[in-house]
Amino acid sequence: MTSQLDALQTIFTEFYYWTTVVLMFLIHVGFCMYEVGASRYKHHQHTLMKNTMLIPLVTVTWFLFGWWIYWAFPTGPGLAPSIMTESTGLVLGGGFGGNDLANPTNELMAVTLNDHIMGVFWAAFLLFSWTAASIVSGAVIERITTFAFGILAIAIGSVFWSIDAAWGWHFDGWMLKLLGYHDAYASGVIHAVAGGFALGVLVVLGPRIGKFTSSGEPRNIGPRNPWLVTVGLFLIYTGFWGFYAACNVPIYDLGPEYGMEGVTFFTATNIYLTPTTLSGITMNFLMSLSGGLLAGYVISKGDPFWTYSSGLAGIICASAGNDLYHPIQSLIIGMIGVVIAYKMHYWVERKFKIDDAVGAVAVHGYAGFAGLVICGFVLNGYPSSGYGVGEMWDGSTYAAINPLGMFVGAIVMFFVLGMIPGWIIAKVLNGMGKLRIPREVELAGLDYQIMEEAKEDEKAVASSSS
Amino acid sequence: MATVNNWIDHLTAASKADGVAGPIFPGAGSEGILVIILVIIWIGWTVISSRQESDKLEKLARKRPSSNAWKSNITDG
Repeated sequence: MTSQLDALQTIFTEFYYWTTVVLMFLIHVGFCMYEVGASRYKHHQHTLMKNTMLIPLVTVTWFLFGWWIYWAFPTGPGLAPSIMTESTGLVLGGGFGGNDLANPTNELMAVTLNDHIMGVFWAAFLLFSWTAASIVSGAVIERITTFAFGILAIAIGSVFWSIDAAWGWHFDGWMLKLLGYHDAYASGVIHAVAGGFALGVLVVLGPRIGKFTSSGEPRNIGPRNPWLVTVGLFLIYTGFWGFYAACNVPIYDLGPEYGMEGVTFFTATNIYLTPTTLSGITMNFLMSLSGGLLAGYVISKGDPFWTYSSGLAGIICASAGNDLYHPIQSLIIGMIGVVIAYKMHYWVERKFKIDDAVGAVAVHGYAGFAGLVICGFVLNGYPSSGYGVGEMWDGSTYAAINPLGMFVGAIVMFFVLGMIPGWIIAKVLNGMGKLRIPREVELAGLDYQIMEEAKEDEKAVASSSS
Repeated sequence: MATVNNWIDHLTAASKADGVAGPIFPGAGSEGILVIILVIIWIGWTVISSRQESDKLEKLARKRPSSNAWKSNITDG
C-alpha cells in the first residue's frame, strides 16, 4: 500500500469483512438458542454442547483443508478450464490458486504485513461453514452422538460446502461457465446443500422415539421454549445481514477488471464480481423476509414456530437473485418458497417418516432448491459473469443464467453434494455403531447424568450447616 | 523466535523492497511443523472425546433409568 487511495480501499475492505464476521457470529448464537428452545428439557445441555463443538471442529479443518478446497476446485476438476491457468486440473497456482492463497503452510494464513484481506475473507467463509453445519445440527437433535455429529459437521462445513462454493460461488467456477449458475446470497451453496445433507443423514438416523404412532401417524413434538426459539430466530435474521454483506466485495473497480480500456467504474459486487449495490440488497433482504413472514403466518394458521421460520425461508428462497431482483419480486419469491417448504415438510414427514426436528430440511433445503429454480426463470438471460463479455481464449463464453442450468444446479447442490454424501457418511457411522445414542439414553435424556450429579450437589449444599 | 527485532529497520527494509514487509509471527518459516501439530491435536482430540462419550453412554445405558426419571432431578437452586 503505497498510495493513500490504495490504503483506504484495502483497510476499508479489511474492516468491512471483519464487521461481517462479528455480525455473522450472531447466526450461531441464534442457532444455539433456537435448538435449545426446540429440544426437550432432558436433552438441553447436550443439544447446546453439540452445536457449540462444531465451532472448533469446523474451524480447525477449515484452516487445514476447507479453505484450500475452495480455491483449488473451481474447475471440478476436469469439467471446465480455469480462466487463470487455462487448464481443467486443480487450480493450484495462477495467482488465485489453492497453494497461492490457502495452503495452511502459506504465510498468507497468518499475520503478514503483505496482506490485509485473506484472514478476514477466510473468516467470512468460515462463518458460512459453521452455518452449513448448524443447519444440519438442528435436524438431528436428541438422538445423534456428538462424535457422529462432529464428523458430519466437518464433512458439510469443510468439504462439501467448500466444493460447491468452488463450483458455483467463485468467479472461475465451472457451474457458471457451463450452466449459467447464479446464487448471489447462497440459496443453493449454503442452504440447499446443507438441507439436502441433513435429509440424507435423517434417512439413516431415523425418527426420535415416539415421533410416529404404530400406524405411522406423526406426533407433534413442538418447541419446549417458544420464546427462546423466537429470540434465536431473530438473532439468525440479524446475523443474516452480516451474511449478506459478507457475500459482497464492498468496493471494486470493474473497468480494468473487465478489460474495458479507460473505463473506471467503482461499485460493490457480488461474489462473482458482477455489480450490485448494498442499498438494493438491503431492500430485497427486508422484502423477502416480509414475504416469508406473511406467507408463513397464513399457511401455518398463525403457528409461531412456522411463522418465524418462514421469515428465514423467505429470505433463503429469494437469496439466489437478491442482487438483481426488484424488491416486490423478492417478496413474492419469498412467499412462494415458504408455501413450497411448508407443504413439502409435511408431505415428506408423512410419506417417508422423516423426523426433521426443527424443519431445517424444509426451511433451508426445499426453500433453497425452489429459490434456485425460480432464479433461473426470473433472471433468464442475464450474464453469469462479467468475464463472459468477450470470448475466452478457447472461443467459449460463460453461459447466461437460464432455467435449465439453474435446475441442474439445484440438483447438484441438494442431491449430488448434499443428500448423497450425507446418506453415505451416516451409513458408515451407523455401520460402526457410532451414529445414534442407545435407546435407554434417549428415553432417559442425554442430560440425565449431569442432572443427577447436579441434584447430588444441591443435596450436599442444602444439608451443609455452615 | 522473534521475526522482528526492530520495527524501524523492518519497515525501512520493507519499504525499499516494494512494500513487502512479510510475515511477523514468531518462528516464521516453521509453518509446516505448526500444521503437523494442529493435525495431531485435531485427531487426538477426536479419538479421546469419542472414547469418553462412548464410555459415558454405555454407563448410562446400563443403569436403564426410566423415561420419567429425569423429572426427579430438576434442581431449582
